[in-house]
Amino acid sequence: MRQGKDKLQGTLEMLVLRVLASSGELHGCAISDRIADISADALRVEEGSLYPALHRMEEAGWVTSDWRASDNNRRARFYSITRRGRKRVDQVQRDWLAHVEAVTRVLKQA
Amino acid sequence: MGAFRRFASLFRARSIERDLEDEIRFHLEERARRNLVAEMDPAAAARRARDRFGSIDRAKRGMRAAHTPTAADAVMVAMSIGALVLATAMYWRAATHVYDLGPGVTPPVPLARLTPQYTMAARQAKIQGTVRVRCVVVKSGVCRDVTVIQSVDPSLGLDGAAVQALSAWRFKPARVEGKAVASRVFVDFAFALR
Repeated sequence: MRQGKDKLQGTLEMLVLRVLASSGELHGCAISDRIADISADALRVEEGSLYPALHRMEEAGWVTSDWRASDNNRRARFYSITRRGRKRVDQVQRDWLAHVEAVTRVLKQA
Repeated sequence: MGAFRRFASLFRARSIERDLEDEIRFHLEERARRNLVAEMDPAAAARRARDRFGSIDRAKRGMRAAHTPTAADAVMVAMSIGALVLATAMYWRAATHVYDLGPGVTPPVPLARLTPQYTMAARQAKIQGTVRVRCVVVKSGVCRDVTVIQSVDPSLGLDGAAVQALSAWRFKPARVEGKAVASRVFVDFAFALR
């Protein structure tokens, strides 16, 4: 149960980091939309869980945040990826793809 | 580094709380605004934003937890403070330690000496003898804590003359392993009438 939850959190973090790596500075709402858009709505995260993940990643030094005015002139917190974050997402993505590939092989041949 | 920041966050709990409230409020308003673009009525847009967000309380708990120091953080901070205090104490001791002359200590060398003068009263009283004075030669070569160890006559001014004279001396400081250190020095001033 615990492990399942960690895995899910790890996946969310990977997706967020990947979106930030390609899109620059975004606030949480925009990050959520990017993930939903790219996955054609297949991955719609419960948005409340996005923020603890962002704050954890900021503590870990993978993202930084900055309060700025949004495009409709509201005070919003914008996140961007750090160099450590980029390294992290490259690593996690490699592991993830290797894992998926292995599982797929089994599914096809068993 | 993270440990220190999480520890420091204990002291700015209020601003963290305000930030996370603001962040969640912005999110819900922004989501409602984006829903409205998709032609929902405002109430429905706000309701959909809330639904999509899930539990606000859970989100807040998770956000707070991200900034809360762990036991490991506390140990890390305590150890760092301990190491800093220890290093400061050692540095302070090394910087202020006064060496007695002996093996391993290159003695200080007087560069400028001043000879004490007889006072009128002592000359008239025909007082003679040796005043032994002690001082600490600090790293800059000047004398501090000049004290009479062996007096000849405290009332007629010879002790004072000796102290005044030694206070004016300048030294090349003592050295330990090539580094200037403070050292304790004894000087005898002989007062003799001719």
